Amino acid sequence: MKPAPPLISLERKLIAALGFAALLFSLIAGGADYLHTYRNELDRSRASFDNLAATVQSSAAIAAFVGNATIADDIAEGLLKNQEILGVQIQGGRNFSFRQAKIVDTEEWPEHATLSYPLYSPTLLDENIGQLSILTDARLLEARARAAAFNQLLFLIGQTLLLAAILAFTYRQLVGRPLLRLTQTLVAIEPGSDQRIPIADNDRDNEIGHVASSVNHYLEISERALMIERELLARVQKLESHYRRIFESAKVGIMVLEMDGSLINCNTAVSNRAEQAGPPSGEDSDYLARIFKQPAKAWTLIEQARSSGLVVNGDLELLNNEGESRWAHCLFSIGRFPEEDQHYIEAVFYDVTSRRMREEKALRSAERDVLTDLINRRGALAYLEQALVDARLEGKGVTLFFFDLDGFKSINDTYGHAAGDIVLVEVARRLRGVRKRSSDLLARLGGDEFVLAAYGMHKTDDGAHQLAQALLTTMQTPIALDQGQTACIGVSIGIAGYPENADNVAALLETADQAMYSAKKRGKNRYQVAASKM
Amino acid sequence: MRAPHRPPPHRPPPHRLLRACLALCCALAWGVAQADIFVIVNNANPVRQLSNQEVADLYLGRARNYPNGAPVQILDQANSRSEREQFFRLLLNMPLAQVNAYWARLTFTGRQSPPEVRNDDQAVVASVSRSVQAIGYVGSRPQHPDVHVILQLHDSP
Repeated sequence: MKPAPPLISLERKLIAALGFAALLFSLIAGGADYLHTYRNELDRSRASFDNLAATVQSSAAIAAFVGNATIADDIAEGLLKNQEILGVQIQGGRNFSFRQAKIVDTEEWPEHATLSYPLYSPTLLDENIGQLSILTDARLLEARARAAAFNQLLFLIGQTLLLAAILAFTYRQLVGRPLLRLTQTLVAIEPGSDQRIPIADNDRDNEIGHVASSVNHYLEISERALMIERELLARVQKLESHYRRIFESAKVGIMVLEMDGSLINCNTAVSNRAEQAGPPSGEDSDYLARIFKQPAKAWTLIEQARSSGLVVNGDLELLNNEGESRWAHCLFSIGRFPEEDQHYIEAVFYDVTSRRMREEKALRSAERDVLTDLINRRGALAYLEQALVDARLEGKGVTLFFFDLDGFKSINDTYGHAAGDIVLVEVARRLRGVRKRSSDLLARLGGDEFVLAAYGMHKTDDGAHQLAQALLTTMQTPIALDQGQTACIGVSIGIAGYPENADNVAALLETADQAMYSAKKRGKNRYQVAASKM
Repeated sequence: MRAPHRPPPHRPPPHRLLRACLALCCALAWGVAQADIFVIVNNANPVRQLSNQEVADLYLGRARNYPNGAPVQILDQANSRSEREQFFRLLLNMPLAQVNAYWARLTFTGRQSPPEVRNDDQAVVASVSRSVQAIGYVGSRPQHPDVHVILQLHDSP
């Protein structure tokens, strides 16, 4: 699990934002409120002076009208009982002027602190007869207004801070803590485990509950997916070990080499064989030299495979330090690693010593036919003896193709023996071209009689018919003689199979011969499969 | 738009005595409702004429002397007298209640003496005839040889 980055709580951010907003609000609203309250307070005191003046206005008017200082004094005494009033002045017509003050009276009262009200005659109400002036204690009033405004400001700030604190607390209780719990639980949970996030009852229907339940849902899905993946992996591993066991325990040698012959991979059949060659020499990277007696032959086959792009096969003698020599049938092909664009050598080989022995035995015991270089009757009989023994042991079939040229006699009679020899040599060459497998026997029994024995093939196999048809086809082409002459020949084939038709060589040959004769009787240039013994 | 004024059509009275009685009643009613006020001083007083304003200043306590500086003795009539009501109405257009309130304030707060009170026209005339400084008012032109009228307040219809 990747380590979680350090947690910067939303709650702290919210509190910071709230605090900032509260501060900003206090500054702006508080400033405006301060000014407003200050002015209001001053207006209020002004209004109260207006009321006071209105109360005494009629008395003051009489005092001014009559010029009665006693009434003026009475009014002034009353007004001066107010703490905010420092002086009172009543002026009227006929040089009447009355003035009383609490302070050392200067000549001129400051204009901003003086409030003046006109006095009207008691008889003619619109006749202005004088003026009532009140000197206010401006400093006291301003101090009071400031104090009131300051109190208001404090109240506002307190209220804002309290609101912010309540908001922060509520957020913490409703969102912050559940969110933090959810985060901590989520960080601690291992994906794919059976751990789930517990959901509190009061969070069930809100965002936290929904997030938690959807996370739980994903946890469940991922747990299930991981389980499936684990099962799949186990299955793949099991399968792979099966294949590996097959690869490792196969009798067939399988190896993959670099293009320079150094080993990439091989199975035990190969490595066991390589160990016989002794410890690796170190300098020599050619692994083929540790397997084959004649690695140059193997390299020739590999070169063919490379140039043709096909699978090339051949028999190679294995390196064997003790006992008799052993042979392997090898298949080489060139592969390519797609991702690296590099070629490699694939080699598969299996032991064919017993088959090789049979061939060698045939070669040893029988000489070859001098004219066609095919095995002669003696060699063929020896091969067939050994093949039937092997086939019995291995439970395989052997199919014998016995064939006789049609019209050979007339060629001999018409063109002479030399021309007949040319035909026989050409037929042998063509038969080698048809012959598919190295394990098969190809022999001339004598005259114009040939034999092909396919080891491991039953006469009923499709391959047997295809082979017979191929033999018929290849003989269709006219054969060029000397001096521009051509000879047309056909072939009649009799097919007999071990173990269906016979269990010994003589009987097998006899059956095949009879089948051939019946094909000839039926019109030549065809093949006849001997009926199986019941 | 007002209808043009037309005198009522003349009807001969049914009886001579009844007509005389009616005329007397009308005259009496006129005399009561529409009476001029005469402001009087002693003949020895050099003041021969005073304006409305000067008389008002004296009776509202605003002036303590005659315009020529001579001391003054102001005589008022009793509150119940119709002449007093008539005098302040014609002089200042002030109802008596207002005059009394004004004087109450001047008397109690201002410690100023209100005018001396005489019970009727005869007492006023008698006082004025004896004092050179005195000034008073009466509801009819005085016949006394020692007083004379310095201002007549006409009762406008």
